[in-house]
Amino acid sequence: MTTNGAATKKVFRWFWAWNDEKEEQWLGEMARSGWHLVSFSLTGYTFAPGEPGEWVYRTDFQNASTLPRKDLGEYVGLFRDAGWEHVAEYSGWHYFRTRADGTHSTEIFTDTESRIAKYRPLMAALVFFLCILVATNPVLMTRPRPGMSEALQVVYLSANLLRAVAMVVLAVITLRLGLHIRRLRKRLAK
Amino acid sequence: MKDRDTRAAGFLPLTETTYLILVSLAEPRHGYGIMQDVAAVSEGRVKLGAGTLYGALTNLLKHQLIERVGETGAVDDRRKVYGLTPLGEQVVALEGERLAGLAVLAKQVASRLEGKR
Repeated sequence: MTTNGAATKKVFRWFWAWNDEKEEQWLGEMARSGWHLVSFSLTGYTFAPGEPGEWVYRTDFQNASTLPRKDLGEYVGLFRDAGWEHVAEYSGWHYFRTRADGTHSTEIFTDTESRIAKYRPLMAALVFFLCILVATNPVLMTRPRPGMSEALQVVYLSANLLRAVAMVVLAVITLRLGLHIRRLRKRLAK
Repeated sequence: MKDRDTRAAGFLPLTETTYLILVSLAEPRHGYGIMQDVAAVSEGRVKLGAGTLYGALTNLLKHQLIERVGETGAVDDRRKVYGLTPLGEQVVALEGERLAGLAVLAKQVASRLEGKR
């Protein structure tokens, strides 16, 4: 809900997938101070000024196979019926908000399995990219050969270094998300 | 029939959420209708979140236990209506038999424990 003509503000903040609860809390705090989320992208969160209020934010993740474009209306409609407003979407992440007035549930996931299933397509994508990096390694990992020009050697070395860094970063992210899922399962099992 | 029985048996046991959603779809309903029905038959104990229900529906559609049977509402406010497939009906029946067996067992155990006291 954009207030007519009032300037929006853009804030950059990075939340990892395992910090989604912190992100949801932060969006609630922003709403409490009168800034309401209108869009999200890699470059940041865009907020529109409005009435400060108590809003509960929740995020969901869906990929092209769990949510084909043609089913978006059905998906958003189901949430709307349950009292949720679809406020933003970016690259599979869907942002919903609802009034915390006690008339309906402020959770979009009501069992452990579905709460964890949210991360499954994300985890699959991470593992997929990691596998590609590992599998293509022998092909692309060309060592500088004698007789190569020095410039070419630098290119090869830096390409290999970049791939190594990417692999480590991706592995750490995958591991971190895996740990989060495990912890969540333990916490929710109680 | 035998083949379908084996295929249906492969889905057992169902989680309580899945069973209640399938039972609710013995009559065609839209998503919100399922939420209301499940809350009603479980006397408010099982409240389905929108994300949980959407995930369950996607999964049940994928395994062909349910299907889209039509739409309801005004043109600008359409809701998809879901219903059980023959396979889905089979699964509900089989799970019902399993639960009925457990219910008999539960009664026996309860009366035996009662007798001990």
